[in-house]
Amino acid sequence: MRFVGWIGMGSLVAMLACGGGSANTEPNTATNSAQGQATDDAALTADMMEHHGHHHGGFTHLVILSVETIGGTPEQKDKIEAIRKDLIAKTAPVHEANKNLITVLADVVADGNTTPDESAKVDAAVQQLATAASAAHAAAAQAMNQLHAVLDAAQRQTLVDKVQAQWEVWRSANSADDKDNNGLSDADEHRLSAMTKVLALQPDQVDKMKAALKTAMVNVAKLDPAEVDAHIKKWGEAFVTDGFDSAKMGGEDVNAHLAGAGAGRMARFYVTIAPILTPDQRTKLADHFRKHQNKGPELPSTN
Amino acid sequence: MQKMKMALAGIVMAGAATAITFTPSTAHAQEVYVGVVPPTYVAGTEPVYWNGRPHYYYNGYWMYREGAAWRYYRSEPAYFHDWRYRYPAGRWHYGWRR
Repeated sequence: MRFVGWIGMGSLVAMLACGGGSANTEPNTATNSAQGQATDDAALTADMMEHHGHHHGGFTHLVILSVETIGGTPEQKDKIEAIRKDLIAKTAPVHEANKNLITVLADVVADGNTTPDESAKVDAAVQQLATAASAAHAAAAQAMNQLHAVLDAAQRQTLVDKVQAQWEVWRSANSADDKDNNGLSDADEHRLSAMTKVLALQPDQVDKMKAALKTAMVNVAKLDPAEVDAHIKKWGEAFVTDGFDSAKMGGEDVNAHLAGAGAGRMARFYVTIAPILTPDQRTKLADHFRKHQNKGPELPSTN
Repeated sequence: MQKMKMALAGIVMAGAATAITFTPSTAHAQEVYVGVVPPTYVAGTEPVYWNGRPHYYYNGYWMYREGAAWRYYRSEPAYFHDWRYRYPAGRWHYGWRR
């Protein structure tokens, strides 16, 4: 069975059971009750929020994630899966940049003290990721066109819908908005809530982290959601037509901004809370990073 | 923090609640009504294609998009009935399962 994504800490903590099943062979079985639906939805949301909160590959990454559940005939699925693997291979530098960033953050978290050298490494890792995401757009253009050619009209619309949905989830997971107007972004509150459960943070630690985050996150680069909305709209309108050509879509900047803003925000969060963690908590979090640094869209070599 | 947790859960729960308490729209030949499928479900679930549309089996109903609105069939089409018979108690989603 195929599993995409960072192992969701939120769902691990909540111990919400996800049903098993064979990917692309037959449907999974699960309860149809409203309560069961809500439970499954919560688990799915937790996993996806964690994934989008810790893996940043820009618009191309959203497409790759969406391709996995397009569905279709067995013959189509074989072709779609081959293209999905090609897309992942073409965007491998993004995957590597994500791994590098998580590795750097694990080192920072482990000693709880960000030296100037480590801080520079974090910034460089974020920049590397943004650069790789920008380049991924052009690298994936041919595979994107092949995907368009394989899909029928309904599947093309499905992919557009899924990319839009992935973007909405990404935005929730990485939002710089402060809906409850308490000085912390929604994304930081989500991460802090997850960390409180995973690391058993004490109330005084949480208070210190909130205070530190309010200061530390002020000058972190914010994404302009309108830029992404516009690109997804433009791409979606073109993708459902027969004349789609990925090379004409542009999107390098959107890829870079989406990946860079998300990764930058994530990195600043962990750099900020690390000094407030106990040694045991730091070890646990660093181990978690190292354990899951390879998670993400599967690479062809792992299949 | 509680507010934040509630807001996050709202991504799906708001949609779920809306889907449960559908508000009837114009009842035409297919007897379709407005509903909502949450973005996490759309993103992580494989649809079933019928009549040239992707359908999502959500909260006990087959839902499809028409423009900006989600609709469902009050009476389950035979195709989907047969599908669910072949795959009982089904919820059709793959990619985000472990």
